[in-house]
Amino acid sequence: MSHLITKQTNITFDQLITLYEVSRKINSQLNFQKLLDEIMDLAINILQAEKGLLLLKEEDSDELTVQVARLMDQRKMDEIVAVSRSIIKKVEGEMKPILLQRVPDTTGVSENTSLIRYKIKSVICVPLSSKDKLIGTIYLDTTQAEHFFKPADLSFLEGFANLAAIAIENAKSYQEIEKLNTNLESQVEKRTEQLKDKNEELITAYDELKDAQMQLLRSEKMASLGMLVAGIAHEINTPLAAINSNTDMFIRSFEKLRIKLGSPDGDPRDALTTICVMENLANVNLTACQRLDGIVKTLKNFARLDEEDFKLVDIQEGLDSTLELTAHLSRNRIKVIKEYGDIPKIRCYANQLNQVFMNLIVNACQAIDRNGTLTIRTRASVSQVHVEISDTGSGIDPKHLSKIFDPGFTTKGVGVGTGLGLSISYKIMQEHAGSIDVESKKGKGTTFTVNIPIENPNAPS
Amino acid sequence: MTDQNETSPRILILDDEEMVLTSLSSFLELETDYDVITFTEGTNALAYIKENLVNLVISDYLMPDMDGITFLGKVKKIDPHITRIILTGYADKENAIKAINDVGLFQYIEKPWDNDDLQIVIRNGLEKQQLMRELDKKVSEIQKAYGDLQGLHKEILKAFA
Ligand SMILES: Nc1ncnc2c1ncn2[C@@H]1O[C@H](COP(=O)(O)OP(=O)(O)OP(=O)(O)O)[C@@H](O)[C@H]1O
Ligand SMILES: [Mg+2]
Repeated sequence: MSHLITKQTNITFDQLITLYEVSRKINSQLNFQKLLDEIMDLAINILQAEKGLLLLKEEDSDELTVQVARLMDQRKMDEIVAVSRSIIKKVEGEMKPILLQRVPDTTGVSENTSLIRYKIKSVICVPLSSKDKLIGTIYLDTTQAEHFFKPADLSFLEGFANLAAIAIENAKSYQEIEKLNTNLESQVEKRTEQLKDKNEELITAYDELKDAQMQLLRSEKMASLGMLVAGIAHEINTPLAAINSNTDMFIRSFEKLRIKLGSPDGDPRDALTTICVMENLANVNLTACQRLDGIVKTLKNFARLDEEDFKLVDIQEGLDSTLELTAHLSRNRIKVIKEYGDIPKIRCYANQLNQVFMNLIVNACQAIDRNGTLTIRTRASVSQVHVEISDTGSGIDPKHLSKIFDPGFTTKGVGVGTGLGLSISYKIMQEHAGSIDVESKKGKGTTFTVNIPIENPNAPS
Repeated sequence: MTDQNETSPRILILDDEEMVLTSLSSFLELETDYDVITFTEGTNALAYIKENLVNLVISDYLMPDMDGITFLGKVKKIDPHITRIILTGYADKENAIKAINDVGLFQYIEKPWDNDDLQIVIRNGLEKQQLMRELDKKVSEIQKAYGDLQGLHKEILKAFA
């Protein structure tokens, strides 16, 4: 049993120096396989061994597998490994090194016979352990009897194994980090790819949005224009119908008069009746023309086509012309009450403000199902003018209140509302540094309040 | 009711716009021999129809106290034989047409109207009205004759009993 060394013998100063160098060498090697190769080569060289095996425990199977085999007869590799197996197994099981100085001897290792068959004269095998756990073994042997391993070699190899184990663990960690890193890199790459795709999607979406916005802007203009046109068409229709019919009458009557007055037996009293009727109709036409003139003036006042810029205006005039243009919606069913206060003229884009009034008044009229009241109130506070448009209509459902200013939000049927009226109005008021408030009670009615600053900070200078 | 054939047909026009009334009535007075009467308020027109014979009614669609469809519905209740025509503006044409079936209107005339077209519509309306009244008269005559026959039948049966 004297050859089986289980106790660590002190190592010499030279060995210490060698260990130090070994340590420096292997610690600088982070490539895992290269490190294992280096460890093996160093061990073989320093201990002047003939053959060497470096085995490591597989992470998943917990079995020792050969990582490096040196100076083996490649053809007999499996056999040779099998010969060393029992010694390695013993080291693994006991976590203790084995030194066979001279074979054959009486160590009791069963494979002595095979060692002899392969002419192995000396064997040394140490565990590689980290944190008291076996991670592998280093196995060396030689067929040269004169180079047999000594206890000092064992001490050295044990020290060497400690360093090697640390280096292996480090390299393993490094390898893992590297694996994570490449993983991360590929993930980053994948994400970057995805981002690129998303970015392209965003660009398309943005373009589409821009198109939609353009279209919206266009239909916004159409929406208010449509309302205006309906109003004007309605107002123009009656005087137009009268003038149309009466002019036809003039032509017919002139024809008759010519016949009556041209024939000798014509009765001048007959002609007189015709002339009286024609006089009547001429007066109707005059009234009709005045009516048309009034409509044109209202329209001009509403649209302020001749003054598109910022001007001092009486917004009550704007309210009046707007009410006239929306009269066809309220006539016969809605009582319109004007409660105008004493308000100063304000600087604004009058045609835009009128558009706001128009949208609010149209909404109010549409909210009143049959009969009701529409009240237009104006008043001034310190820095603002307030216009209240109040109706006794259906009111707004509380759950809709937050949405009514959204473009496209409408509770009206297809063809009735585009849902743009309030969003346009809101935008116009923003441009005027003003605001629109709403107060509504379902079933009772709604009041929209337009607040316009008397001094507009957005005014173009 | 007075006898229809000797007096000229009576046409009632209702519109809140004097302008329209004057134009329409002037045209009808000069170009036809209809007896034209105009009103600006529905209630007055209805009162008149209750007391007088009217052959044809033209009503504006949009009016202050009562809309044209409601008004013509009431006219129908007073005398279903009166031909009812509605005058519609630019914006309310669709609504008016929808209502035509509900109230059983003869025609609608669009503003601005064409005088010749108007005259034709009125003439056709009056003709129809005339035919309806005659048909009514015939039906009641037949009913009377049938009643007489039944009476006679009874007499005969009695005689043979
Ligand atoms: N005075 C009001 N009374 C009740 N509900 C209202 C009133 N004003 C607005 N609303 C509600 O707010 C919604 C949005 O109004 P908005 O004026 O923006 O669109 P719209 O009237 O539906 O359509 P458009 O104005 O384009 O014809 C309306 O559909 C309606 O439900
Ligand atoms: Mg609206």
